[in-house]
Amino acid sequence: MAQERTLTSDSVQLDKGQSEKGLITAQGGSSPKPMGSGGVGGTTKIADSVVARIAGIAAREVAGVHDMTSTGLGQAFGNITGRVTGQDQQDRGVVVQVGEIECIVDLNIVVDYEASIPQVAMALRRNVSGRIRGMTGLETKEVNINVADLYFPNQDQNQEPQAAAVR
Amino acid sequence: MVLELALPTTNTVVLARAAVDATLGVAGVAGISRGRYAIARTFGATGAVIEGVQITEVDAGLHVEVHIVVALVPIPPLAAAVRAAVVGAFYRLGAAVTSVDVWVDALYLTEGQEGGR
Repeated sequence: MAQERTLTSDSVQLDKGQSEKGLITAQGGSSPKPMGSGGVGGTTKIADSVVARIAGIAAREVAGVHDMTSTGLGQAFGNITGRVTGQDQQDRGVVVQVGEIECIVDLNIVVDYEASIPQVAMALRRNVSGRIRGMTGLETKEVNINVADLYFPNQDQNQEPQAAAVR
Repeated sequence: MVLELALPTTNTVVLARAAVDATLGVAGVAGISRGRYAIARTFGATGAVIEGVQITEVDAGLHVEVHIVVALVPIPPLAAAVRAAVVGAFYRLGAAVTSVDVWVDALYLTEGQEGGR
């Protein structure tokens, strides 16, 4: 999560709609393209956390996804620190590995009980990859989905009496 | 190397301030970031410090690094707009820019965009 992805900054090429065709270079921009903005080059570096948040938002848009949940100790710790510091949780349950021109997204989701998991998974892959491509120009090579839990509609109602009984 | 004087009449703090103003004027830029791993700063001769912009001297002119927080908009065209705005601002000040690196350090979401459940 401590890496950035780098796009070429060529506004001329981007204006031609080629931003989705692999204009991405390695971090550090070893060969910045001196085009656009009056012959000025440079690179665009997008933090992994930004890509993860975009993926998280896209995942939550899909019907049948009830919530995202943390995976592993590192993310769980990150969630605790995020809550303490007031940081947003859009990238909770999302791990991204970003390469030069593509990325891999791992999602850890809670699915609504009556939703079809294969259909939810298909919709997730379509929406997440589309959003990432549209927002960053990255191609999504894989969207790996882990269904961590099911959410039952009456789950909250059942939990309330139990909580009251404990008190 | 951090450039102390880009031109005889325009110091780097003035240029950095111009870069910040130009960047904030681009639709979709929510703010200036200090940098993710190290604070990007431009130091002036009188002790003034501008954070989020770093200006270094390269062979043919200046290399500018701008750290930004963006709204939920497509990033490649936004970065191109930031680059163009910075180049335009420097051009008006008579400074030659060879490259502008745009670092997207964070995403700014409004309440309706957060989508948390």
